[in-house]
Amino acid sequence: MEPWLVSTLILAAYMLLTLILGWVAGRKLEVDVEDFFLYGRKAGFLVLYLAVVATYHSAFAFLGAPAYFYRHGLGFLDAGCWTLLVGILTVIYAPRIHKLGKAFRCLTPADLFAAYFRHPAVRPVIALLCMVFSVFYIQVQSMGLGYILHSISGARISYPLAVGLLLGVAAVYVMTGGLRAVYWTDVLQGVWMYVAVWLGAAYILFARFDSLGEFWRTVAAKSPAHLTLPGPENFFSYPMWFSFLIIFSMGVFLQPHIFIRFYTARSSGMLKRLGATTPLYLTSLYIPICFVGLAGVVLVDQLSVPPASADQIFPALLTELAPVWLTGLVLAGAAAASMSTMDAILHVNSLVFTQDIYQHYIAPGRTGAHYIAVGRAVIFVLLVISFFLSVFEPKFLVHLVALSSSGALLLWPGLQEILFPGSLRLGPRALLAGIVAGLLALLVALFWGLTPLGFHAGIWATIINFSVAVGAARLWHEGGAELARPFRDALREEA
Amino acid sequence: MKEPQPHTPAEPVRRDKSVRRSLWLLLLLLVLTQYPLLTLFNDGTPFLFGFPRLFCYLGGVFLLFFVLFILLASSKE
Repeated sequence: MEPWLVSTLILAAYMLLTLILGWVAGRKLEVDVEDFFLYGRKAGFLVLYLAVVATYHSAFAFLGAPAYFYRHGLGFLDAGCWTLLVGILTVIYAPRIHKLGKAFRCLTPADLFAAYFRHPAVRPVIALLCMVFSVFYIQVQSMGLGYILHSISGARISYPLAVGLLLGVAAVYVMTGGLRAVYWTDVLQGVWMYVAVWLGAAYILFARFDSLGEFWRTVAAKSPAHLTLPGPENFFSYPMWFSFLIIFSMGVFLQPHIFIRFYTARSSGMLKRLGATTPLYLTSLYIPICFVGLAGVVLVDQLSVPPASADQIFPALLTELAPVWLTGLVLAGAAAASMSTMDAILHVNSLVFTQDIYQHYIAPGRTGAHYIAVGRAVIFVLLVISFFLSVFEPKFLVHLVALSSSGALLLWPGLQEILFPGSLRLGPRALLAGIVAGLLALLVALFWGLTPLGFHAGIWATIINFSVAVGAARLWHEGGAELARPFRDALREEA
Repeated sequence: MKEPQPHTPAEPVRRDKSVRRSLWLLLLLLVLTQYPLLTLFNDGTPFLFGFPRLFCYLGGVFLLFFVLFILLASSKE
């Protein structure tokens, strides 16, 4: 059998498995909005664990992260720190999000904000922020998927067809089984990607080196700068390290597709255990990734087909060094990483639009079945939009994607106030003033490429957001005990 | 004769809270100071050069983190 056919068939087998899981999940579905959108708030520990870690790691972990190690060296060990921080944030924030979400029957982040701040402008602003900052991630993931299938088939499957096929598979199982299908496929994807990345890295290393010590000495001799900070291109200065630390921990934690995971837990105590153990998976995934990136530094000159870009270093090493079945297995793992993030974002955007926009402003008071049908239609519309964005790749998207990774941080002051009621004494106008100021700062810094003192635009936007929100709250005296009391009581009752 | 004072649990609770707060701070400090700690050894014979040394260090930090973290996550708020 032709090598490309073996790899493509392995990927096809993976896609078939996800479709079967989606179909089985769909058969279990009840005609109930909470069941379709929030798994009936009864996700158990193992399912939620794998759903969180698989959603957190996207195509970036397989393609982008090895590229960072390959270009900038060990500075990217920062990833080890921000994944630990994700665990800390989960232990501190997630049980409170769960308790309040349950007490106030919230389905979306905007539900929680609207319940606390009680102002008509809060819901649409938070809903739009959630949608704008996450929808472009679908396009990034579908592009990654398209490249994987296109290259695995030796360019026999065209890029647009590859994008359409993989987007179609994800959309079909999300439409069929809702969040239950997303979670069940996440279990498969979470296990597959973890096993695949370790196997791929181990094979690449031990195919060319006798021991890890020899490998390390070879890297040190070939490019010592890769084993120092701030790295060969001076990229990982402390401000940049700190910026990545915050953006990829709090910035990702606050994204709606991660945020609603905490509503779905069976109990808040379970979320503490989840936070304490997720870094085991999240952090350790970067160990093989580190080896792959550094192996690229040493072996790139020996490849008969050098990678077209740094992002291609992992597939290029596999194609050259590993047997064809392993290449197929690992690239299916990369597809799993992309798909597990993409399906979550497809699902959450459908939820946010249906719950925060359609149900509140267009057609209130309809049946659960009606809203589920609308949610499915929204997924189809998102699928079409993502397909065209992935195929035509408009230039302005570069800015929007950069914006999306920092944009979720704009929710931070408001969330701090809600989860620790009265801690910042924010009222609705102060919250909105902070968001507008932070958003303006983010847009200006990103579009003009400004990084004052070396810190990323997202950090400056967060500082400005907090300062304006807290300053405005002191000036207007609109927040305080009245807003905080019901939330304080809810936290106390549930404790 | 004085009535015996009723036992108040406020003091141990306060102590427990301050211990927990200190542990959280230590944990955050551990994460935030990794960059300066790693660069401390970057003086000509970089710390990161030695594979066993680097991974012993990282393994140690990771272990310390988990001990602190599990202590905190398992404590009742």
